[in-house]
Amino acid sequence: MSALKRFWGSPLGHGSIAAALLIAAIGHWGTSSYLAYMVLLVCIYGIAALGLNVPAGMLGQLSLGQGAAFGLGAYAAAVLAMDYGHSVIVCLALATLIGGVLGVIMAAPSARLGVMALAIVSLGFTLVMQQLIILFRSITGGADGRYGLTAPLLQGQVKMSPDQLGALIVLVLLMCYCAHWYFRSSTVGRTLIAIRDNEIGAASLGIGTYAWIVFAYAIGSAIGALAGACYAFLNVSVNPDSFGTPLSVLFLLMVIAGGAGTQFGPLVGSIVVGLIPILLSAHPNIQPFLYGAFLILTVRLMPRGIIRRSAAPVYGYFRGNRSREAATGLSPAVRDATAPVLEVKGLERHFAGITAIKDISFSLAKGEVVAIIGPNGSGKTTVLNTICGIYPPHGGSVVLNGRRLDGLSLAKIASAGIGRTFQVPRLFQGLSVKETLVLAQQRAHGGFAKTNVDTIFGFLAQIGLQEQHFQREVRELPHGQLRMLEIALAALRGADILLLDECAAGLSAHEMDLMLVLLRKLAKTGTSIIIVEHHLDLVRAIADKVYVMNIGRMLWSGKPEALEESAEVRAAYLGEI
Amino acid sequence: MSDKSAGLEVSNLGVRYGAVVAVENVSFEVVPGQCVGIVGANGAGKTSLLRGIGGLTKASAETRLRFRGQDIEKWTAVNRAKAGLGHVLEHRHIFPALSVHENLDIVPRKPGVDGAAQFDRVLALFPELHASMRKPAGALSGGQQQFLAFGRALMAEPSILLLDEPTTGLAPILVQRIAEVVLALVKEGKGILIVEQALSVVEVTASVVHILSHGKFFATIDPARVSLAEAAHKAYFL
Amino acid sequence: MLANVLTDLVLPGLVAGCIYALVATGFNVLDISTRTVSFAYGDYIMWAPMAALIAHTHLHWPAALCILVGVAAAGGVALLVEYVAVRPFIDKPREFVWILSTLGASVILQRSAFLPFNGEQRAFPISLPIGFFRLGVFSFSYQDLLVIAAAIVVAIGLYVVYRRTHLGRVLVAVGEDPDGARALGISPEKMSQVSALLASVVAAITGLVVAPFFLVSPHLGFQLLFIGFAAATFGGLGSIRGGYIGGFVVGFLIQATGVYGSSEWTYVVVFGTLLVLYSVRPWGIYGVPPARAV
Repeated sequence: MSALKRFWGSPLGHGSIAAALLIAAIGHWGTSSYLAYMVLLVCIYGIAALGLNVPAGMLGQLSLGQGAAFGLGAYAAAVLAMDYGHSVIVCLALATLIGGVLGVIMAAPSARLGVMALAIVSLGFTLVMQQLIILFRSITGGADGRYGLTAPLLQGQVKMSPDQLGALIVLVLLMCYCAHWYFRSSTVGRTLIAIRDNEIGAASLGIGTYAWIVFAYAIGSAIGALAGACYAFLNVSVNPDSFGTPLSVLFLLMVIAGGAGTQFGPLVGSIVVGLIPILLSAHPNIQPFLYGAFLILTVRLMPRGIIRRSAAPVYGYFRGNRSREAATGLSPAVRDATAPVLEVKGLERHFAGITAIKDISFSLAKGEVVAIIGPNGSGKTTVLNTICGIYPPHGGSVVLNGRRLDGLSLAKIASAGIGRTFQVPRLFQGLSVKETLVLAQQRAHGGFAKTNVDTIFGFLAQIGLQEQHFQREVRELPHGQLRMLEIALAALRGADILLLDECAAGLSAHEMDLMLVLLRKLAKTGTSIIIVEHHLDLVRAIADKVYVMNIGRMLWSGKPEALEESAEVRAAYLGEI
Repeated sequence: MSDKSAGLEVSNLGVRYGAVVAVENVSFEVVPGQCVGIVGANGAGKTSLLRGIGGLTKASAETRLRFRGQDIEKWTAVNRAKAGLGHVLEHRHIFPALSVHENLDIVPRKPGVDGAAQFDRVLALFPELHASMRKPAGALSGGQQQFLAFGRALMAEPSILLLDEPTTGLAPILVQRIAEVVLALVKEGKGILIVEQALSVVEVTASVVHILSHGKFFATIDPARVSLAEAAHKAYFL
Repeated sequence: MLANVLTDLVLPGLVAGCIYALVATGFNVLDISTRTVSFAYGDYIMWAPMAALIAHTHLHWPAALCILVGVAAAGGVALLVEYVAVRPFIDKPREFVWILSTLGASVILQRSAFLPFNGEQRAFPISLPIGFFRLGVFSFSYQDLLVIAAAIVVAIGLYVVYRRTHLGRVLVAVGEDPDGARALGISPEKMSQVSALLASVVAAITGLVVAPFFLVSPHLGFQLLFIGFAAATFGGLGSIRGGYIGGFVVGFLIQATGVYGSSEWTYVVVFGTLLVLYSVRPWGIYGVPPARAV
């Protein structure tokens, strides 16, 4: 790629050009002009929207608290500058920090409770903030607010002029834009989108949810407070009327209409939404109607927003790991029947009084492939779900390499070395194939010692996903590729044990052959596999041992060849009335 | 020879979810007094097929559905149900908070229909429900819930009934009951379309069986003359 | 001393409890049938007295007619929001998109309430005559009694509807399983409309009975929204019983805050209680922890 293209493609590149143009334009119009004020306001809103994009766009939470963070930042800046004489830089930095603390306070009690709870809590925060502003009127100036907010850029200098302030705001926007860009292109950004698009799929890669939600809210509120502090300096004043729930809704609109979770979306949204008051400055009363209508229309007609491509580029990491296996020269693991890697004893689980599984016991050796078969409703998926931690068992134990797993969460069990695929592939619509693969690699268990990355990439190429297709978003992939990709992810993570739930469902004969080759290779390098399957040919081709389930219990176990001869299996599975 | 126009004619049924094709180019018919079976592996498209016919999932534009002489492909699911196309969903959908009696009673009745007589008919088919009439449906066992789901669909007096994997997770003795009920309904003159992954019930009840694989019909057989297990083997190795 | 607690805390707390119980009940009615909650519900409550006020001040209609106008306004607004912002999403309640669309609707409804009086707060002129009913230590104003009566009437009315009528059972069923209902010939879309209408009746009663206590302004709905939410969450969303208990808890809390502290701390106290609830029993008294489907 030519240097010019690279420059233009990087956020610092095109961003600094845009920033320079903006500063020039503001200087030309004059900072006291209405137009310059509106543009700077849009810049400030853009900063807040970029911040909100983290919890609301990337993580998909409906945070109604950005107005509170904005207000908190504004008041913090006002108090720090006027009562403590701090410089602008210090005020901005401290306001950001305070905003981050607010985010943690908002999210910590409510992060485990789901979207609705977080929405209500964040809404409540905005109301509480307004009340607190009135209550602590000696500091905040109460309903009248405070005026005359000016400060020097750095300690000891002369107070900032409006021109300098305007330039500073644009630079802060540039800085946030670049940080946001790289944030989204980093592991953190990918992780948040994964949690948003499929929480359970993310957990099966070892990604827990709680800490990330709190983190995302902290970042979002911190940047929101930063924007609020800029706003306070721009207006030379603060008062409670400017911060409230309508502002929170406005910021949410910018993120959602622009394109939630995307790199350009929040700015596009803030420009589009910000244009409304500029174009309709003669009719200030109509604006809220437009915001409300815009919000309704967006979620009904354009739910993904203006910028529809949600996937982001990946920088650097990808090339790093491919030769690791070749370098270590690993030999295939020897199957050791005397030291089971997984032991399941007396597993039991019921739902609403109905026993789904009972007395399930078996063990798994290193590199062994075991199949669980049985009619629909016999409890096969429940066995997998209970082992990997989607729900805890009501009885019995699961031991992996001597360590008890029962009762742990899916994310913890996945991190301990168990990979899982699902009946309906749990992948992340908004990521590209490349981002998904990198995410799995970065969540790998114990390094890549067992998995040959080249094998997996070769496998993906054979099902039509060559490297040049990696920038496709996962939502565009056909069913067969989704299935294969899910298995590839589990393999890339280097899990000790793979739990595959009907991985062959919906695959063509050719795709099934490829799957077989991959699974055999994985087993040879020491991965143990449990497959739940209906395709008996696949079972015969790969399983060392077969367990047959019926109505929640294990009916029979033995070698696949002996399957057809067993009378009980015929009766239960093929079903003779 | 039953009256063809009183039955269900499916032509060119297709169901897509975005880029994924679940069902493609499926055509068949069900006439009153007949039981038609569709078997297929998981992932073959069975539920999508029934949902497309019942109207809960939007079928593709080329789909044509003719029911009792009318083209219903543009109708809502609610209207199809009201017209007599019953649908028993998979996983035994019943209303858990309502009692068994309320579950049965809640079904909208056509004007002039005798509610008490309908109750009697349903309870005659499923006497097991009698003891639990006042219990909340969520407290019933799996088999009882399946009977309730069946009975509920029958309260609407459908002429064609779509059954989505009614024997999933049931003990063999209950599977037998389901088969008996299906045969009784067929004798009464209803048309039944039963979709299953396991072969047993379909073999016993259906006069025509279509084998579904990857969203398309792989073969169509008469189970009285050809072994269903062998015919299905290639399609899904069972 | 006890008499003071009675007159300062218990009796007014009871009245406040009835008010918030009514607000919570509206949310629960919507949740029962659609598994969604309208963030514009507070504005349905606000528009009943607002419309009545418009009829009274600008049209000079008699009080009874104004009341009818108020009821009709709440109904019209609720049905409009249901059609535009709720119904498209009833099959995907867990995706929470309806939060955004009803928020948008709320913004529009609030702003349109600025038009008749330029956003000024007005006293609500239609109320019972000033007077007190005394019985020993108990003393209620006539308006207080109306509030309590309204809460009782709504509770009984909804009990009859949900437990004793066919329609009520259908309203519960579509909330539990919209697809199952469709397969039986029951339309969740139609029931969503009916539940919106039912909620609007509760909203109209709430707004008209409560308006004399507050000033009528475009912000009225929003003031009640959050506290109503807190009350409904406390009792367990989707439970009428829970909404009443939650309403009383919140009502007493607010009254106690006003009497022993300052009413400026109201939101802070309610919010703090909500945070405590979320840490201890997030699904409320009568709610059930969500089951997970994989």
